Amino acid sequence: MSRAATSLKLVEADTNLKFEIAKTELGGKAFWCVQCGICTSGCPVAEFLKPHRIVRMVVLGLKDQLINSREIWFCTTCFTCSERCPQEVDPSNIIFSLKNMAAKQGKIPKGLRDIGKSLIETGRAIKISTAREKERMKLGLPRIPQVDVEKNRKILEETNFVKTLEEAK
Amino acid sequence: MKYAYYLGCLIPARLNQYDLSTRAVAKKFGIELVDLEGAGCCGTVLVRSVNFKTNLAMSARILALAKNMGFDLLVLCNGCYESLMEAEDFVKTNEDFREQLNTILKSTDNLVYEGGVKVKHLIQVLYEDIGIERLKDEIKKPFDGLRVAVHYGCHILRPSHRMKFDNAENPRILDDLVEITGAKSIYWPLKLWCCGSPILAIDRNLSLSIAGMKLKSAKEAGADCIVTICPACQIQFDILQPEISRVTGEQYNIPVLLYPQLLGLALGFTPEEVGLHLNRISAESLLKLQSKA
Repeated sequence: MSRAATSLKLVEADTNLKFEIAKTELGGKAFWCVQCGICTSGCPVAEFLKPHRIVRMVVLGLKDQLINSREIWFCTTCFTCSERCPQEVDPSNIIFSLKNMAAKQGKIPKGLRDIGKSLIETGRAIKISTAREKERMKLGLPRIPQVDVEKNRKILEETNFVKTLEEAK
Repeated sequence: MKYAYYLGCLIPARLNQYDLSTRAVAKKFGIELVDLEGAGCCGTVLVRSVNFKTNLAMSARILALAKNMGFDLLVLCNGCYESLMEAEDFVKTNEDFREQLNTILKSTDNLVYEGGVKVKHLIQVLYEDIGIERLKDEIKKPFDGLRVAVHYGCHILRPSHRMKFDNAENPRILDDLVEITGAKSIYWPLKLWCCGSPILAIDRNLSLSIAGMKLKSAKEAGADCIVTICPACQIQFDILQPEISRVTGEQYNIPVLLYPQLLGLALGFTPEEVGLHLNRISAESLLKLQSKA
C-alpha cells in the first residue's frame, strides 16, 4: 500500500489548498489543527489512513500527493474524527473535499465508477433483480416504487456528475 | 400518523425483510406508510465522495417530492437519513446554496424546495411518536435474557450537529428500544465503530476485516445476536458474514436482526411475518429464548 508522501516536496506545495477547501460547501478548517491526534486514535482504518497526517499535508499544501494517493479513498466516512475534533477541523469533510478534487481530475476508484454507472442508468445505486421482485410478491409486499430515471439523470447531468464519470479512469 | 415512505436502494435490492417487518410493526401501531413514487437514490456518501453538490441535489429532490405529497419522510436506511438531513440543513442554513439547488431542481424536474420536511428514521418514529410505554404494553412474547449487541451505524449518529439524533458518544434510543423486548443491551467495546460498508466497493478485504473485528468484539462480549437499523450494516454482518470468515479465518455464527424483526417477534408476529427466514445466518436459536404467549 503506497503512502501519500514518503518525502515532503515543499517546492511543489499549493499553499492555498487549506483555504480552497475551507471555502467549499464541505468546509473543514485544516489551519486550526494542533496535531493532537484524537482523530487518528478513533479512526477504524488508522492503519492505512491517518486523518491528522492528511490534515497536516493539507496545511503544507501537498495537493498533488494527496489527490493522487490511494489512502484518501480508504476513509470509511464514519465521521468519528470530525465528531471528536476539539478544534472543529472536520477531517472527514476535508477528505471528502480531496476526493471531490481527485474525481474532478478523473481519479475515481473502479468500484465507485460502477455504482455511478448504475445511478446514471437506473437512478439506483444497486439494480434490483427480478428474483428480488418475485420475492416481494411472494411476501405480499406492494411493488417497488418506480424511479423517474430521466429526471434523476438530469440532476446527475446538471451537476456534472455524468461528465466527471465519463472522463474518469 | 401518516408518512411518506422512502426505501432507498439497498433495502429493495437486498433486504425485503426490513420492508416486510417495518410494514407489520407500523400497521400494528397505526402508522400509515405512503410509498414515495419517482424518487431515486439519495446520493449517500458514495456520491458525496465524487461530487458533493450532486449528492445534495439528489437528496433535495427527494425532500421536494415528499413536500409535494404533504407528509414528513420516514426512512429505514442510515445512509438516506444522513444524506437527507444534510440536504435539509444546507437548504435551511445556506441561502446561496439553496438558490443553486433550486435552479437545478427547477430546470430538471420543475420542483422547488425551501425546506420544512421532517426526516425521521423508523426508530425515531417508534421512540418519539409511539413511545416506549405504548410499545411495552404490546409485548406478548418477550426475549428474556437475550444478550444483544446493539449496533447503531455511523450515519444516524454522526456528525451529531447535523444528524440531531442522539448523544453520538453514548446513544440510548436503540438500546432502550431493544430492552423493551425483554432483551439486554450488553456492553461491547467496538459498539460505535463503523461496520466498514462504505469502502466495500473500494477495498473489499479491508472493509470486511473491519466488520470482522466488530463481529469478534460482539462475540467476545457474549452477544447472542446483533441488532441493526441500517441496511448497509445488516448486509455486512449478516449476508457477508461467511465471506468475512473466509477473510479473517474466524467463525462467528452470530445471528443479525433488523430492529423491527426483533420488535415484531416480541409483539407476537411469526418468524415468517417478519421475514426471519430471509436472514442468512439462522436466528432460530433465538426463538427458543422467547417466553410463550
